[in-house]
Amino acid sequence: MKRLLDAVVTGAGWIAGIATIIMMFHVTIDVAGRQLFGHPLTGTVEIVSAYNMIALAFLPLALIARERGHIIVELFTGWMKMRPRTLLDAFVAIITLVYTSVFTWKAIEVAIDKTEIREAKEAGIGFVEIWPARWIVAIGFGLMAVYVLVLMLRDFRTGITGEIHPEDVERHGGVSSTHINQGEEQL
Amino acid sequence: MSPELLGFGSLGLVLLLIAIRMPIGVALGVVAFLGFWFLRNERVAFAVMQNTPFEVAANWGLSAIPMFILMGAVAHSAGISEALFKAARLWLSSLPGGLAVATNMASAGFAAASGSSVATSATMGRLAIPEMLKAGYAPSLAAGVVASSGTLGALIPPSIMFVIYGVFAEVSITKLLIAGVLPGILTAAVYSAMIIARCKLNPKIAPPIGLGMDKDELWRERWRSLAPVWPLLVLIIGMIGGLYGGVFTPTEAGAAGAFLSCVIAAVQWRLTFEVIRTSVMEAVKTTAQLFFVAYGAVMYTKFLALVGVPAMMATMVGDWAVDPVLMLVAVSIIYLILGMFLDPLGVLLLTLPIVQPMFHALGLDPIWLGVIVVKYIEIGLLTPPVGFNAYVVKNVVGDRIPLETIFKGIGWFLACEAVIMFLILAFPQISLWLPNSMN
Repeated sequence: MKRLLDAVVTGAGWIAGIATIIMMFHVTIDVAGRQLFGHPLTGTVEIVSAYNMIALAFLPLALIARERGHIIVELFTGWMKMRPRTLLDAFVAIITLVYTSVFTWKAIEVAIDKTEIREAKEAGIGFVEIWPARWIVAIGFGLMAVYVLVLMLRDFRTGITGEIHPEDVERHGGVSSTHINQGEEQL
Repeated sequence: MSPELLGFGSLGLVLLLIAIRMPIGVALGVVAFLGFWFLRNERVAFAVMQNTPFEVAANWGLSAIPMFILMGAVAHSAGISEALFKAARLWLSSLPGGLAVATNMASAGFAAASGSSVATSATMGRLAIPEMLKAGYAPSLAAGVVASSGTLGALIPPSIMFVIYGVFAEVSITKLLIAGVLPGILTAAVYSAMIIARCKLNPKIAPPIGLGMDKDELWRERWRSLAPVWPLLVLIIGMIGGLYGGVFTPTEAGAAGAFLSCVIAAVQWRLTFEVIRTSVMEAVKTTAQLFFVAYGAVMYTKFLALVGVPAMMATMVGDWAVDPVLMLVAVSIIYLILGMFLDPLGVLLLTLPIVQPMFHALGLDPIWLGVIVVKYIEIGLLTPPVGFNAYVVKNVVGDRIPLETIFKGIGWFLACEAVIMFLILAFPQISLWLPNSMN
């Protein structure tokens, strides 16, 4: 089960990566076409915003959760011992789980609605159907919710029994005060 | 409940939740959700959660972010940082504190390929700190210059911070990126002047280094060192020029920049599958992570608007009819304090709905505000206790340099920042001359 989930999460990350590469080519060709030949690709803005951006914004969410990469502030809890801190993380994860689950539920509702009306955006002289992108949002949040649940259960176990899961050894062994989240590296 | 109480009460709740290790995006979103439920009803609250994520992510303006990150990551993998540092070292090492000046200038160069200050510090730290320590430089100087010059990453285009500010403040991202050019150069220049002056007065902290070659050889090496650097520099100048001339949008500049970086890397036989994989995944993960915070922040901003906080701040300014100088001092204090504790994105998105209406009420330029805000956020990366850039340097150097020494070294650069901020606040033209001269 866990291996299947990991494979799906990694796969979703890959799809987001491919969407990024396609976006790079798509926009580059559009600029080159417009500047060099006076002929842009119709619908670039609409397609990139509705598909590539949605894929790369939502599909990696579970991957980030797996790497515990969502941005948190560790300053005020640095003094806590490992077990109470992990237990705190587990309790906080309940709220995160509810939050992402509501997002998932609402995203599915929207996706069903938009599929029924075949949502489309006007681009140039025609229309681009964008309803499938609504499902990407639901999948991204859904996968994240599942992974938050997995990590929450693991943290409860660690907090209660003191046994550290093999995947978390590095995290608990690391020095928390000098730990920098990966995303922070980009600001 | 009065708007003041709701506004400040909810902010207090957000900070409390963040303090107990809740992901920042979740803390902002949950408080906003509860706020909507309390002020209106659960239907409104759910509707906000339903609409916000798609609205935020399906945004052409923000699509510049993954492209900028990709461009920086590919340029780095293609060895531009090593090449820049090598060239800067050959050209500048005869100056007092030459290696530190070279580090500063190489950071400025790398900043022009990278949109982030922490990434710039991490990259230059690995290269320059060991070299400076080997040459007998004071550890505080070596660490300080790397941490501080990293902040150029967010000022010199491309810049992720300016993209986010532009989208949420609804001002032209292109103009913001162009507005960052001169303040970035000013910052690099003031840093360099300080390093040279300090090392001239106290040569002990930066012993002169011999490059071990005669004059002819040195000049040959100097010119040769530019060979791997110039393609990217041409690309960057073309990109800034294209933005300035209105030839393309920031997203287009980012996409074409990323593509051409790949071409440059391919020509130098450095574009492996591994380089592509790590660069792309870095872009994807960082973007998704920033957006996850943004969903919560946008919801919270909508809640503040419903409460009437922006209007309240604007009337406050109007009622007091304060003069702009007082307000700038107040804004400075707010940012310095928040920057000590919060992460950059949190500071940016939380303060915008409050500061922007105040600026608007006084008729001040939002582009100028963008430069001021980004500059303060960068200063926040340098101030203890939570100075991200100091921690990045600490991660790079390990046990060799204690954190206190790093912050001590940064202290000199913070003194420079006081001068730079005074200039930026006193002379808006430094920020506005270039963007206003665009057509």
